[in-house]
Amino acid sequence: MKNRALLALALAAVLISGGVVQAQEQTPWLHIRVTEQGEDGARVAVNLPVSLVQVFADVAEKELEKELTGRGSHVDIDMEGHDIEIADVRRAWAELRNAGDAEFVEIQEGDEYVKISRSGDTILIAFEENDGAGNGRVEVPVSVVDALLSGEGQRLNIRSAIDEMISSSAGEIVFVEDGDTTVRIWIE
Amino acid sequence: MPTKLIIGLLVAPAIFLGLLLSADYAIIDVREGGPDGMRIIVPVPLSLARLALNFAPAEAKYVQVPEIAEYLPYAERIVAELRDAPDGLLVSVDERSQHVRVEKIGDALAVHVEDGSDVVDVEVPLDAVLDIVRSYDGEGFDTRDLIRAVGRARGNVAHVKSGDEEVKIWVW
Repeated sequence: MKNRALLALALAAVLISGGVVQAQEQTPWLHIRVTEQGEDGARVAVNLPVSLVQVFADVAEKELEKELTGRGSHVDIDMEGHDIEIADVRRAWAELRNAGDAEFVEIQEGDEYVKISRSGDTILIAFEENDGAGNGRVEVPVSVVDALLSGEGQRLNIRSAIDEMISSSAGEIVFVEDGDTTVRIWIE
Repeated sequence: MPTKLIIGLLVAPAIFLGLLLSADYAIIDVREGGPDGMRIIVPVPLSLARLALNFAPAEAKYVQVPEIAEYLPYAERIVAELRDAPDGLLVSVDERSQHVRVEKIGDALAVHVEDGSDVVDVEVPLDAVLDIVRSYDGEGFDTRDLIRAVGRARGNVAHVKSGDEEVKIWVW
């Protein structure tokens, strides 16, 4: 009887500890690596549980709210001097999201080349500098763009976008190689 | 009357001694560089430090930071998330002779900063951070509460090394 009780306790302990380990393993983390080439190059590593990133997203959203209040609810994306309103982006996205796989934007200006396209459930943003100084790609799931633009008017729904990013993607989100600097962001 | 006075004279130091023995202590160990460098070790009973603050000027008793009020709920959530997170390296920055590490170890955050021959190591218990966050009254912090929070730490709290000069603070 005593042996059975001990066995049951041991089994329970194993199951509970297994559950805890599994829960910890299931918690995704956001990883950021910035690496500069060369002996003196800086190396930055950030590893954060995504639940913590969500808190930071809430802070960012609050800051954005303050910005909106300060600017009379008007926020736009500054593209090298050309302002694009979020409301316009939302309208364009509503048209584009059902277009299927396609190249949305392709710009060649001097040495710089930018392409925004859709492949399956992913939006790909690729850029390249022809002199070889840098290139990069950003991969964003369609559902994340949906979530980001799910706010109203000029508002971006950052919290919802991060929630969606966590639930929909694992793996590399951003890879940028700019001259000597490499930036990688991924969730694992 | 003299008997009562004698009892009073005996009891008062006994109570004082009892307070000292039961208190949390911060031990401050300062070591000067060089062969003739001095070494000073100061044990500071934290309860007495809190008591002494009652007689300090107003600006030493209270740290006013009203601008952080809106971020306090987030700070509490960040601490809660960190407590739930498994141990690991959260941030590391390396550039030439400069190195920064922020690591979660158990219920504490360990921060290591190295710049050439200068090294700073700080270990902050998350419970202490939570105490500090919760002691915020909407305008600022009572420094006595900050000292109380320091009392939550155990072991090495801070180690600062600059060349051959060193300061260590530990709490027990």
